[in-house]
Amino acid sequence: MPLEINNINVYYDDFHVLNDVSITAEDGECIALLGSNGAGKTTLINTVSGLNKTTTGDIIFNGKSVKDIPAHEVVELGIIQVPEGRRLFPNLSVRENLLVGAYSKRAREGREERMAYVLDMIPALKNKLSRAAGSMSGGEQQMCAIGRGLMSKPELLMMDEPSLGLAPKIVEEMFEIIEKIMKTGTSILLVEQNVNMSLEISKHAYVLESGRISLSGTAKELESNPKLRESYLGI
Amino acid sequence: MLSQLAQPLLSGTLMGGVYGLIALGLSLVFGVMRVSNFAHGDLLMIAMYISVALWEGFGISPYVSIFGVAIFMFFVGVFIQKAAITPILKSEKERSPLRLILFTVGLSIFLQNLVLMIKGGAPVTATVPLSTQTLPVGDLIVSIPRLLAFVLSIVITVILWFFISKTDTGRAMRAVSQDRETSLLMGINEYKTYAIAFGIGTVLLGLAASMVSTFLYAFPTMGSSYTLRSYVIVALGGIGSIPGAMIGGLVVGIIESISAQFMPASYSEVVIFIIFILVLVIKPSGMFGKERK
Ligand SMILES: Nc1ncnc2c1ncn2[C@@H]1O[C@H](COP(=O)(O)OP(=O)(O)OP(=O)(O)O)[C@@H](O)[C@H]1O
Ligand SMILES: [Mg+2]
Repeated sequence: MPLEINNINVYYDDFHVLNDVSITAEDGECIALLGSNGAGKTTLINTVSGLNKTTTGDIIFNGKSVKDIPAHEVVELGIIQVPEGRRLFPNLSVRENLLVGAYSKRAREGREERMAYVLDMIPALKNKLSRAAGSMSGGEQQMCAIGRGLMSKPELLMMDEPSLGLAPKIVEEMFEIIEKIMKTGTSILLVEQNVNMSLEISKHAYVLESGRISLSGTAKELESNPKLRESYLGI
Repeated sequence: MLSQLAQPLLSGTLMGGVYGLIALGLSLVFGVMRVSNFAHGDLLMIAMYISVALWEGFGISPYVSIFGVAIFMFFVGVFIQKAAITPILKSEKERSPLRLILFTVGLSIFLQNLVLMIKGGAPVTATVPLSTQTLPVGDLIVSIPRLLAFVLSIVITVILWFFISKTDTGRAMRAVSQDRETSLLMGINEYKTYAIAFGIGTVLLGLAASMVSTFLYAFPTMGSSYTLRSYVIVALGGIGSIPGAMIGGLVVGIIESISAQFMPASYSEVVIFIIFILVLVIKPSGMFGKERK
């Protein structure tokens, strides 16, 4: 069991953002984390990444507690995030962004071969390696952000709303890439607003509402759950 | 008229290269961690005093001690970063520049008085055999130590440019300067990166100080004019731009020495300051800098 989040509580000053949240992800599966704007999804994955700290509970990854490990060391364990809004280094080229993705000790060795593999996975990046990342379109930037995440040798890849603001065709392309990544045995925690497509590729799903898990179950169960259909699918 | 300007143009260019090297450290530190170091010129002053002391006390020429001084200055920089700047940065959730400005201004005053206390206020310099050597080029006279300082400054700048653009550490520094939170998600230790940046900044000061100590005088209050010049150069060249700092340095050096032909030398600082304000008003990102979001 690679990731186990047990009863975490996260505050921004006095503001209680996450309230007793627990999530379990198994090896090589995709977990969907759904929820409306401001529910606390980003806060949750930032807590796993070590950018936010929980006051209670624990976060266990491969049997090891990570909640007190600083963010730059969490990366060394293989917990990798593709952040919301891509957050590429705009003045670095695509190639340099990918290289920074392999900055950690974990990923530095064999990074050239890894880059070849990532470009195979995301061929759209191949002829853009020398472009400044900030000068690309939203879709290209998202592909680059995923590529950068893969360069870090993820064991658990957390993606924060990767389809945000992308054209439907690009969204489809991106979900195909996510499925390819899953097939390599990497676990995925997918934060999404695109409920339909996320449930389609994931095994389990959680719904976060105002900082609490309000619904959870297998993707199949949630797909037919009237409450979820009502609030997110607009049916 | 033209031949009258040729000599100051030459001297200004030679000195400008060194100004560029001195400004690079300030630019790097500000670019990577957004810290304004008002003790920058004072750290140059300290390094010059060390260089002179090694010459006067032990007969070690600044051209020999330069690497030792540079390494020593690296540890001085890393120490200042780790002992003071990093704790101040860590103690504030929302980083406000105020406390760091107070700290570096305080450090500047401390260093000046430290030197005043130990060595007094009289200017010092390392008069080595090379100090007074000149090379005639046509009608012009080239000072050899100044030429040497200029050439070395350019070489060091090129090496630094290579380091920043091609190495993993250099790339990490650029990443941190663009988005520090995301850098953490890449496994970059931001505080270690800051210490390296500050250390490189002080290494550059150590190198520059060793070279100029053979033809310039060091005195306790000299730092402020170098800090000011460095700010003007960084404003001209754009924050974090290595070629920008070098070009900015040349511009300042040339303007300074040409204006000295027409007015008392002490006014040249006023001229520099006017340029500074003009740049800030007309193009705040620097004449050669990229626009920052
Ligand atoms: N740095 C911060 N300081 C204070 N409050 C914050 C901070 N970041 C987020 N919040 C608040 O915490 C709550 C949860 O935010 P979070 O970004 O985790 O939500 P989200 O589910 O990711 O939303 P979205 O779908 O819009 O990305 C929101 O009410 C938000 O306003
Ligand atoms: Mg979010």
